[in-house]
Amino acid sequence: MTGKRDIPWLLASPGILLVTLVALLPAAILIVKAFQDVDTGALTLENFQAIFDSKIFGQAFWRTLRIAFFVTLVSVIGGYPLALLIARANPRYSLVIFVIVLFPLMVSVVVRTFGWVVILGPAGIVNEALMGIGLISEPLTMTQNEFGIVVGETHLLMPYMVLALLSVLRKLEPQLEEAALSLGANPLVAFFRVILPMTVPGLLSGVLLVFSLAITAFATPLVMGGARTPLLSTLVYRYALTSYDWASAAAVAFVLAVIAVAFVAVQKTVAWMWMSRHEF
Amino acid sequence: MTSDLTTDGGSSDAAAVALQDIGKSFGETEVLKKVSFHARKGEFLTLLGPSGCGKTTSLRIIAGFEEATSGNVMFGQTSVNDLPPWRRDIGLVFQNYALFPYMTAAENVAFGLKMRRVPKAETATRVKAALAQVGLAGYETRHPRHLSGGQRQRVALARALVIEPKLLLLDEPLSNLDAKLRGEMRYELKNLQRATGVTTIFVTHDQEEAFSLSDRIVLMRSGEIVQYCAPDELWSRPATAFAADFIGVENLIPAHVTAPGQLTCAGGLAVTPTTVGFAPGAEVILGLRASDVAIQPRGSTGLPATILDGEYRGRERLYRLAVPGLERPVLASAPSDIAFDGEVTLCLPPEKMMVLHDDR
Repeated sequence: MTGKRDIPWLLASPGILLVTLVALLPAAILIVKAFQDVDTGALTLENFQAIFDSKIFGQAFWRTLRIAFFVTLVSVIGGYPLALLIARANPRYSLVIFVIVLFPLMVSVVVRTFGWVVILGPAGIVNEALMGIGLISEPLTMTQNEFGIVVGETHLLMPYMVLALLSVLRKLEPQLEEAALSLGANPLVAFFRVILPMTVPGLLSGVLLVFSLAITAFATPLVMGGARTPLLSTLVYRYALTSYDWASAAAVAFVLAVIAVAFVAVQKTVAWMWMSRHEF
Repeated sequence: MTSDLTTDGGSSDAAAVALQDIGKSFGETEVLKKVSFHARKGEFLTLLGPSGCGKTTSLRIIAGFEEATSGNVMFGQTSVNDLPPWRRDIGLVFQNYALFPYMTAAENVAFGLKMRRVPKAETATRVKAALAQVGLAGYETRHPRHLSGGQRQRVALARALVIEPKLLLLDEPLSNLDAKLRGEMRYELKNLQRATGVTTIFVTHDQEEAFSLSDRIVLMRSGEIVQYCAPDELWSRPATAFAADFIGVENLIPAHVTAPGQLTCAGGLAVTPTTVGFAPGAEVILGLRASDVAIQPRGSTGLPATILDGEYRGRERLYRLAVPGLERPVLASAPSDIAFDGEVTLCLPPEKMMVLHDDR
């Protein structure tokens, strides 16, 4: 017997099955492995002890946070004006800008990233141009380091910020800004005192998206950062597939998950505090 | 058409705000065609007209949100064409209130004072007084979402008035309120405007609001001024058939001037209005209010007519009557305590007949 209430569950069951098989189950196995001795299978914290003692983990840990921070920062600074432009421009132009902004999401990650290698590499057009006008004499190192990773990830993740901001900017009544202008606020003051506070919810969800995607990104750091600048995500890969050290890989992956969950918790708290203070 | 301009000699010396030959085009579309009007100091001026007539664009040009394609906007003796909105010193109230949702009522009202760097203590006193003036004392810490529509509009009014603006601009501020509240707010708006003496420009499509609030009315249509005069003049002497139609003159009958002072209506009926003002040969519209058409029992002197139907309107009944010699039925109202039926006599008073240029 199936009642009406069972129908959504029935329809969702293939999805639920898939998620359980390919996401939840492996994640559970991973967590268990992170706390297990490889040989005996006994519960232990030694895996964590080992990675915390290694220098490369510490570097990757802080580098991951640092890069995610800068990617988020640049996405906000660059994405806000873009979102504002799309929301305000005449519909014909705004569609064109919108498509250009979303374009990175439609290109294969490998193609996009190698594109950046060509542009930023030692013989890339940026270095050629800078040396051509005599600004520098030696090529700048812009790939195989953190700078390259930040550029590549920002390119990929800024569209998420723009989308999140657009969702709130499009709902904003233009009269609010006009009211502020009529009351004596110049456009800059009107932006910071009226528009910006109204878009904080969108800004917060954009930050959540971009930051969590930035700390877990894999292909971009691998190509743009190379072997000398591992992040937690690439470190997992290295432990698991280069040194076959599954215990360490599981421990690093667990730490990465903890960072992600902690960040979500912080973001939700900030959002909740802001909303309740401003009676949204 | 701009009859009132003649009474003050066309000078705008006393004008607090004046539009001089303002033209505005959006691309190919001309939304304002050389519009000129002015509001005297302390005056309540209404821009009235159907949607798309250019009234809101005029208001936005005065506020500085739109730039005129040609012409001047004058505040007193100075042109403000190059002055941005935030330097124009205007109070603005929108149809949708446009209150800052994350600020309390008091913070909303204080916004303009903050922008003017008014000291904190003075701001607090003035905000309190402004909220009290609109009847919202004690609502200081409420957020807009916890206020009713009428209360929001009062906060918006207080916010616009607390800065003591040179000019108050109202963009259909009553349209979002329900009928009963609209009547109350209309009354309060008028009192507030009288008490503060602020020069006010009010935009509406509602002729009733325009009549009850205004010192003068600018009736607009497709970017042009149709009539610019006091409410009683617009009521009794609409300038054209469009004006008459817009203010609700029920009977608008196409007619032809046959001889000096002589009209023949479509259908053949001949009438002799007291004033005609058109030379023989002109095609005109004969306007007559339903309340000016008298219905009498058959046998009295007048036109024989047949009642087609009657609509009960409370105090009165509105009848549709077939009149021999007229193509379309005539509308006439009579007190509802006497019910007419069948054959009656109609009296069309010549002194109430308006002979109008057909611009519809």
